[in-house]
Amino acid sequence: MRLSRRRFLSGIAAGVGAGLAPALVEARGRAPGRRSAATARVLVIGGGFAGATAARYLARWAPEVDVTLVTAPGPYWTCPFSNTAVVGLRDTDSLEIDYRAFPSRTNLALLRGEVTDFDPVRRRAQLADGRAFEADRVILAPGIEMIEDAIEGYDAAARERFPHAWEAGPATGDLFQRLQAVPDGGLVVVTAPPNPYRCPPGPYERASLMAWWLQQHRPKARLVILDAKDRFTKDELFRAAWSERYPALAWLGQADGGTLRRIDSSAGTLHTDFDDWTPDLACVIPPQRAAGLARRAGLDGGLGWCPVNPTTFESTLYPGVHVIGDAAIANPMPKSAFAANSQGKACAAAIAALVSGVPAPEPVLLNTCYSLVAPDAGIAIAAAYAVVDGALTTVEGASGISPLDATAEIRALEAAHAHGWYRSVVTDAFG
Amino acid sequence: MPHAPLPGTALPLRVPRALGALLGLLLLGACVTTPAVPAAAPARVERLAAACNGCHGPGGRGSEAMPSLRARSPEWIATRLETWRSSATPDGRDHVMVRFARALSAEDVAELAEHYGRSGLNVPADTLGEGP
Repeated sequence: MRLSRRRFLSGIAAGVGAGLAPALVEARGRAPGRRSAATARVLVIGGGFAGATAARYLARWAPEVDVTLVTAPGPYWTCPFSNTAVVGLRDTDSLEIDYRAFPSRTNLALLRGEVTDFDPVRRRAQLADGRAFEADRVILAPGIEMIEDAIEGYDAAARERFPHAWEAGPATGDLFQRLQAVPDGGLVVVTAPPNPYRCPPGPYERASLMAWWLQQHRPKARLVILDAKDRFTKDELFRAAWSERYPALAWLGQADGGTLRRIDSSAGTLHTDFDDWTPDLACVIPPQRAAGLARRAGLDGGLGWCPVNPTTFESTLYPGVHVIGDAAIANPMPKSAFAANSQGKACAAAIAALVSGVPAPEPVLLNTCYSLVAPDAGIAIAAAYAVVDGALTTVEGASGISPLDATAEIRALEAAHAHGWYRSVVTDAFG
Repeated sequence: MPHAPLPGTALPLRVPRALGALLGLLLLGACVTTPAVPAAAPARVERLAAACNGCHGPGGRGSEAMPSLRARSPEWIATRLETWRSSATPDGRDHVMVRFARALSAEDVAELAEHYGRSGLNVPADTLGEGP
């Protein structure tokens, strides 16, 4: 019924000429009771940076579309800047998003509920409380999940003993408590997972800030990064900062035997290729994949992450279903909050076009990842992206990292920009 | 299985929908001569400005150390973007905007300059900064 009505309206638009379709939109957008004339209903699943941004911009750019954002009923804390809470620079509470303050629009509804299943053919979301919703288009922004069977011995006891705190919240503050319990002369380990994973510079920023904290409070302690990779984002900048600032920090890459192979949680031991480590505190950040909701729906096609059209972020497997944020395959864009925010806007612009029967515009896609190597020293990587021959690519000349030889003033300015970016992107996504 | 319509979008009867469609047609007729017809997709300059919001905040109003883009002259915006855009090599003060500006066309620069040049200091609360 709904679809046939949409086709009917599309037919009207086509009948009077594509150029006049927007007038129809505009007129109905102003009419009282406009809701009853919505051309399409879009359901956005997941209220993180990607989903919240997409919902807000779509509602703004397509006043004739009814948008519903469904997000989990529990509290949500931003992962960006959670590393600063790991070392006590801010409270975990300050990372919480207050959805009660989510800006309202006549064509945007926020719904709290847990989506337990999604049918990508019917575009039907089943909620834990028994409700179910169908929509003309669905944007899925479900985030990530940890692959718990990727490392031998990574059981419940190991997860408790070696917390990842890679989804911010109480675990973030708990990690700061554990850091404060590390004795002087103690050993802290951070393990970094293989690509791809959420927040590529995150493990290295966390290690940097932990090393900074230890230097202040446990000057004889050591910190070791055990890495499953030999290269990582901004590695030249991180390594330069470490050699300049943190002599007690060591990084072991894959070639150094840094890959975590096995965990013995009862002994508190991490086994790598050549060594056994028994740290006073360890963050084990495991390998990751798209959240279970997307994978159970088959949107990952067995790949672990969801393939999408880079112009529209529509699934290449299920028409009418878009996947944005960390769960999507959007290489070379990283799985960052900035990228999620950017993809949310690109997807919103695409859907605004598609529901009006016109082709999606060339997407504007950007990313910046700021990282703090110390509270007053920031580094950044930034890039602009374009679709070339159907593939997402980095725009020639429009990518790069902070200068290696920057002055302390420039590092301080980029740290300040990092704080400003966080404030801006949170407001942009959540109001 | 319970199956509800999306909240706030419930359409209890078919008749009002048909009326809505008729109303739409009538209003369409009234609006055909209106000169300012919005595009079906947001214009490129609006999508570029939305990208600026990611760092500079809704409407480009700035946050803490992130400068505001509002209440600037078009020349101020254009000069900076054009300088960064044409920067062949990092100048030792290379930063995020140098990289982003290189992805802009000359037309993008002109449109952004005009967009922000028309903006005032204030952004209404709870908006995404639509329009200056």
